[in-house]
Amino acid sequence: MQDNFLLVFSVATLAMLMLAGSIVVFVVFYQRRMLQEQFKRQSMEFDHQQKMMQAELESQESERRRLAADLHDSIGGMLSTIRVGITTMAKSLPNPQAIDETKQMLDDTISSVRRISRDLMPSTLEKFGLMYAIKELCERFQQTSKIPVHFTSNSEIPKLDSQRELMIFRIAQELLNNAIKHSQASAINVSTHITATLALCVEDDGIGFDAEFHKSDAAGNKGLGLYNIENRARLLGGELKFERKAKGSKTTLVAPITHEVQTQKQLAE
Amino acid sequence: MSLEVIFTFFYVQTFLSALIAGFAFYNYRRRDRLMVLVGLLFTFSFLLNVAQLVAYKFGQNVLMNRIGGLYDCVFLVMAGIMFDHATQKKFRTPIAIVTGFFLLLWVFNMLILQKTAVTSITKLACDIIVVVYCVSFFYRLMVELPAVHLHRLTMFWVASGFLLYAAGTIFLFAFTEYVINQLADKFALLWTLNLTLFILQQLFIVVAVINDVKKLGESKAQIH
Repeated sequence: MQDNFLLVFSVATLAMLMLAGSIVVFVVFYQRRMLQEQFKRQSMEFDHQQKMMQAELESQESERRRLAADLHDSIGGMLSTIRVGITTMAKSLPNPQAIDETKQMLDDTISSVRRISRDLMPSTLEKFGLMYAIKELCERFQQTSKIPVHFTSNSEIPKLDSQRELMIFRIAQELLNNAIKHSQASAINVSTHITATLALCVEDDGIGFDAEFHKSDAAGNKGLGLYNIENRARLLGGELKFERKAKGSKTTLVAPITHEVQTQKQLAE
Repeated sequence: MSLEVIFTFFYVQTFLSALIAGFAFYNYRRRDRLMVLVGLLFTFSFLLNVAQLVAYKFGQNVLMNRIGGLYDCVFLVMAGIMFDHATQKKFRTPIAIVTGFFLLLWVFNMLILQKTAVTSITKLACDIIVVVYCVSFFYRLMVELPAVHLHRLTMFWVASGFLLYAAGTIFLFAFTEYVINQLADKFALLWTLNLTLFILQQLFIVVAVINDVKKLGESKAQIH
């Protein structure tokens, strides 16, 4: 009787302990599995978002390309033909200097069309690569704004995937545009730093700006440029850092040279 | 099973209680409320163990049982507050009702049913209630699915320790009277099981408090 009791007691206690242990183990495994599924779902959503963003930016780029081609080949071509016509007409006029002003305006229009076309689709980027394209961009901005724009680089930027190059270029373009338009700066520094990653830094000595405010709804659609910059940085798998300094502001983009590495990192996060 | 073995287990248990209380109160201003409750519970556990030892030295066996009974009351109230805190007050009313009924049972048991004996009835009730609390807590964990891994949750370790101890001692307390009356020579053996499971529970809670201290270090590193 006593032995029987002890046996039943031991078995019952052991069973209870095993039951309690299995509840704990079950909860642990269940949570782990659920987290894995949640992670999978999140990465699928992330992929989807990335693709949507990429499609949006690609469509923007293709529209720009089409516009650039139309401006350059069609309007630019026609304006050049008009200019030749005017020059020919001028020769038959008694006072050819009378239309010099018109010719000058036409020349200015032709240059504007070329500049807009180049801004829309930078041929330097395709022909000479990212570093020269950014350098040329700085020179162009300096010419038009009369604000000194210095460019420095610690080394040659390696050849990247053309889409990635275009995205970095667009970011540089937008940042420079913002600095010139809004910062009231007297000088702008653009630098690239190549290590395992590519760092692009645009720094000005102007009034500085609050990135959070411009990104918020309070700024209305003024934040569209920043929104595009952030989308591009995200697609690059990079990080953007906005710093407000005592005098001016500094924006740094750090992006991996290749895409795969960072995408995996972002998914893991 | 000799008395010395039981005392060895008892000393280990007392030491672990002090250790847990020490870890739980370390830097207590920056700790979660749960840790303060764990600290209080094990400070009580330590003090009551010391009191039981003193009572034993003076041959006050009834007093020893009373002190053991007092721990049940303190434990269940504290456990109720801990689970209330861990479930973000979602079960406050049922926890309060259960605690109220338990306190009535505890008083009734101490005054009438088991005035001098081991308070096995309240211990059994305590075990059943704690099993229900723990299972409810684990159910909430499964439903709410915290983003962090469970092993990083302090309350997960605390609840696991409580559950293992409560589940393991249910039959022991259900048959305490029978064992004392019919199997007096086996009582020491069975009581060692109680102490062993209590130590197992404490080890889980040691993991919980150490984890919590580590988290404190991590948040310090983030601040600096």
